[in-house]
Amino acid sequence: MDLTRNPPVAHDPHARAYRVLFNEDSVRIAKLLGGAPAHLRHDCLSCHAVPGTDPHVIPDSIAEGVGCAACHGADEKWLTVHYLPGWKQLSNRQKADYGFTPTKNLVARVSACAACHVGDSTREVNHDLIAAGHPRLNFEYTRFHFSPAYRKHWADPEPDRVTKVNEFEVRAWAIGQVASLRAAADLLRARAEKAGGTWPEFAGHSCYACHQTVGDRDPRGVAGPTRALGWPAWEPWYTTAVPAALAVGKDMAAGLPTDVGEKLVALQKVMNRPESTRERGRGDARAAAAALVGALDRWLAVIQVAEDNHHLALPTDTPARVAVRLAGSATGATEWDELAQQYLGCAAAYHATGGHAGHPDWTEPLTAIKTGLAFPRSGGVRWDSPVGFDRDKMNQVRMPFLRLTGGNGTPGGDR
Amino acid sequence: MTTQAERVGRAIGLAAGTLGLAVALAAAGLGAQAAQKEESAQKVAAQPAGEKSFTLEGASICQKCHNESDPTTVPEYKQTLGYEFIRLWENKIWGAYDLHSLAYKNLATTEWKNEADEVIARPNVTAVRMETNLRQALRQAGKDDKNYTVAADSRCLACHASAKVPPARALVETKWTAADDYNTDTKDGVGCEMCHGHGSAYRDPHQLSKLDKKSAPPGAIRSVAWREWDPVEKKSKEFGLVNLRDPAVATARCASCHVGNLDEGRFVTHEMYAAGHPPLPPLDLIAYTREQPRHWGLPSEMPYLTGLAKRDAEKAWKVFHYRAGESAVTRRFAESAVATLRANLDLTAQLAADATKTGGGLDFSAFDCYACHHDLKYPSDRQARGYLGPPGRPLFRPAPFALARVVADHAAGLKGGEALSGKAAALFEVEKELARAFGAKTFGDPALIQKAVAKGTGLTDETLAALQKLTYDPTARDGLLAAVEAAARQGADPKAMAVGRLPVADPEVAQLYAWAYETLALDRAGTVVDPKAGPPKPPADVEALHAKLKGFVVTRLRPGAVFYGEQQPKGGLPAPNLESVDRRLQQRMAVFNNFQADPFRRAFAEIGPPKK
Repeated sequence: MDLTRNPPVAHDPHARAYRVLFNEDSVRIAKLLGGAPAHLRHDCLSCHAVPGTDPHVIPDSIAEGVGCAACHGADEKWLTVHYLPGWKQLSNRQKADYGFTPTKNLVARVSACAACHVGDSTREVNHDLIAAGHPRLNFEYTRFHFSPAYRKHWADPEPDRVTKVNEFEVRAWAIGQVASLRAAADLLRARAEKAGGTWPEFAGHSCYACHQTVGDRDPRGVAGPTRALGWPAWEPWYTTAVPAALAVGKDMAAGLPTDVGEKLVALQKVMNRPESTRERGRGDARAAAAALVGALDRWLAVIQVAEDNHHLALPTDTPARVAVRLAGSATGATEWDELAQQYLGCAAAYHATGGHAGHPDWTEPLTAIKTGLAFPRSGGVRWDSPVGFDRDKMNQVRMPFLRLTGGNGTPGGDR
Repeated sequence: MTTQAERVGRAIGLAAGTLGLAVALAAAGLGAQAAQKEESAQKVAAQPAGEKSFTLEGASICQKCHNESDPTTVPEYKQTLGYEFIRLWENKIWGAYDLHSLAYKNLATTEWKNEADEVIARPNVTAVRMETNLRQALRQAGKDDKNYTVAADSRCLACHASAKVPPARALVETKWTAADDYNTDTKDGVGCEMCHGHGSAYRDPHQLSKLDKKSAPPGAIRSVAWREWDPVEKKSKEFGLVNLRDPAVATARCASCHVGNLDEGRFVTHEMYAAGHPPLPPLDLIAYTREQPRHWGLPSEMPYLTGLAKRDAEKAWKVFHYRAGESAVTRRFAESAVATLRANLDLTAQLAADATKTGGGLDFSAFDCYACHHDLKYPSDRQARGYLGPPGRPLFRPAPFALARVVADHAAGLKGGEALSGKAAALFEVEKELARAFGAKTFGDPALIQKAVAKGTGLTDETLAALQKLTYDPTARDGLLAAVEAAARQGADPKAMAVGRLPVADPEVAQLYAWAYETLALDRAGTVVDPKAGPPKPPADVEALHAKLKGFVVTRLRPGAVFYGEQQPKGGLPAPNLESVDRRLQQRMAVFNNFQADPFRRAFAEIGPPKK
C-alpha cells in the first residue's frame, strides 16, 4: 500500500487541510484578499497541502492535504528503504540524509510542526490573511498533541509505573516552547530581510494589545523594561513561558548555551518600541532576531542530541517546579496571551503528574483559570478575543494561579 | 455684575491703550475723560499691533464686559444695543457650564488649593492614571523624573491651558518646560482667547463706540464701527480676533486641539492614549458647541444681524457669513463637516511630513482607532462589508470622509450646486487613494499619503468655496436631513458602495450621522429654550431616535446633559461640570464599544425620512 497516497488517519485534521480551502470561510478569505481562489493559491497550499517545490506546478497528490511527506520529509529517497530491515538501525542523523524527518525526536518533531503552525521563511499567516478571516496561529505543542480532536498514529512514552509521572509531557512542553520561539524569531528575521516586504508585520505582535476595546479603566500597554508605553509587544505568545522552559532544559541536558535569555531580551528591546518601524529599526531587528535564532539553534541542537541518545529523564519534581514558576510569574502578567501560556504550561505539568490523581488540589484552580480565559459565546456570535478583559477579569484569572504556588517547589529562579 | 465704574474705566482704557498706557490709565480710573477720548481712540485704533505681538489678556479682562446677567438693563448697552449683536453674558455660561474652563483643573493629580487655602481642584482619576503611566514610561526609558506631573507637561498644557502667546510647535516642544507663568495662564483653563484669538490688540478697539445716532443701528444712539470691519483683513490679521463666524475658521480652531495640529504643538500621541487620555471623539462643530453649551446667539436670533442682512446683504455675508432666509445652523453644519475633513487631512499631512524626516511611519494615533481597537468576532461585520484596501491595514478615520461626502452629494443637487457635481465621488476616490497609501506600508507610506492628502485638501477647499455660493434655506436643510437619514440606513448595496455610499460599520460614522440628524432636526423644529420651563425637551423625532440608539451609539459627549440649544444665564439647567472625566469617559466608551451596525440601520429605517 502506498501510504503517501492516503490521508494519514481519518480523524487527523491534516487530512482535511486541502478540503477546507473550498469551504465558505476560505472562499470569503480569498475574495477579500483578491486574486485566485484559495485552493489555487500557493500561499494557502504551502500549508494546506504538500504542493511540491515548484510553486507553478500543482501535483496530483494535492488533494491529500497535509500528507505524510509534510511532516516526515520529502519521500523521494526514504520511501523505498524505510521499511527495509536496516532502516531501524540507522541513527536519526543518518535518516536525515534520506530526507527523513525523525519525528520521534521532539526537537525535530516540533520544528516540523512549527514550520506551518508558526511559520517560516516561505510560509506565514500574516495580518492581511487573519483580517480576511484566517484564524490566528497560536501554536503550543502540548495543546495540539493532547487535543481530543487529534488522534495520533504513533505511541509516546507512558507514565512511570512507580512515580506515575510522565515527564514526557513537560519535556514536550519545554521543547515545544523553545522550538516555537525559534520559528517565530526566524520568521521575524525573514520578514525583516525581505526587501519590499511588510514591515513590521502586525501578525508578529500581540493581538489583544490592539484588539481590545478602548476606554477601559486600566490601560494595559504599560511601559516595561523591554516595552514602550502603548506599543504592542512582539510575540508574547511565544516568549512568555520560554524562561521557564529554558530552566527545564537544565534538567534535560548539560552544556546548553546560556545566552538565549539575553538574546531574547535584546530582540524585545528592539521590537517593542516604535523605533522598530523605521529602516534602522528593521536592521536592528533582523540582527537581533538572527542572534536569537543562533542561540536557540545551539540550545535545540544540544537537546536534540540528548533526545537521540535518550538522556533526557527529568527529575520527578520538574513538573511541579514548572507550574510553581509559571504560576508565580502570572501575577505580573499584563495580557491574555501571557496568562494563557502560563496556564498551558501549568496544565502540562498537571497532566504530567497524573492529573487529578497526582495533584487534586490543582484541579479546581486550573479549571477556574481555563474558564476565566475562555472567549465568550453568545447569540450565534463566536468571539475570538477576550472581550472586556480588564483588570477585574485579569485578577479573576491571577488569583487561582496563586493557589498553585502554595504546592511543591519554590517559585521562580533557575536551578 | 460689571459695575458702572468699571465700564467707565474701560472706556478710558480704550483711549489710553492706543497710546500704550492702557493698563496704567485704566488703573487710575480717569472716568471723566472717557467721552472726550473717543475720537482719538478711533484714529489710533487704526494703528494695529503687529501680528507677533498678540498676547493673552485673560478671562478676567473679558469678563468685565462679557459677564452680564441682563445687559438690557445696562445703560451703556442700551446706547449701543450691544445685546442685539452679542449676548454679553458669554463668560457666565463659560464659567458655569463650559468644560473648557476646567481644562487645566482636570490635570490635577493632587488636591490643589489657592492662596486662601481653599480647595480649587481635586485629583482627577484619569490624570492620575496618565501621570503614573507616563512617569513609569520615563523611568523605563532611563529618564526618571519624580517631579513629573501632567500639569507641567507642555504637551498637555498646549490644550489644557491658555497659552500666553499663540502656541507654535517649536515653542511648545522646546520652550515650555513647565507650567510656569511664562508659558501659560492656567487659572482660566482654556479661556476665551484660545478660541477667539489672543486679545492684546483687539481688546481695546473692539469696545469702541461713537455717539452717532445716524450711523447707529435702529434704536441705538451709539455706533460701533468695529462690528462691520472686514473680518479677515482687519479684525483677524491686524488685531488677532479669530473669525469664528466663518465655520471653516471655527472648525480649524476647535480642531487644533480636538483633532490635533502639530504646527501648534497640539497632538495626542498614541503613547498619551495608552497612558489613559480619553479617546478624542470625531469632531462635529455643531454637536460639540451644542454641548459646550453655546454661549452665543445664532444670527437669526440677533436683531442687529437680521437687520443688517436686510439692509446690506452683501456686508452681512462678508462680515458675518449670514444670509437672510438661510438656516445658519445648516450652513454652519455643512461647511464645518467639510472643514473637519480638511483639518483631519492637514494633521495627516503634518504627520506624514514628520515620518518622512524620521524614515518611519505615522504614529498609531494617526490611524482609525476602531480599525484595531475592537473585539474579534465571527461572523465579522468587517469581513461581510469588505475593505477599501487590503484587509488588515488600519486606515484613515472614515467618519469625516463619510459626512463630508453626504454634504457634498446633497449640495450638488441644490440650485447653483453644479460646481459640486462629482465632488462626493471625487472625495471617495481620495479616500480610496488614502487607503492605499495607508496600507502600502504597515504604518503608512508617507510620500503616498502626502500625495493623496494634497488631492483631498484641494477638493475640500473647492467644496467649501462652492458651498458658500449656495442657499441653505429650510428646503435645503430638510433635504440635507433626508440625505443624512438615507446615509444612516444605507444597506450593503454593491452599486451604492461603488460610488461611496457605504453601509455604516463604524461607531464614529454612526455617531456623526446621529449628531447630524439631531442638529438638522432641532433646527427644523426651531426649538426655543425657555429658561422658565426648565430643562428643554427635544422634538419628537430626535427623542425617538435617541431612544432607539440608546446603549450602542454615542449621542451625548456629556452623559446626562440636556443641552438642545443655547444656554442662558437664568436657566435652571443642571450643570454637568460636576461629573468627573473618569465617569463621563466610562459612560461614553461603554456605549461606543457596544456599537451594533444592524440595529443602527434599523433605527433610522424605522424613523424614516423627515415628514413634510
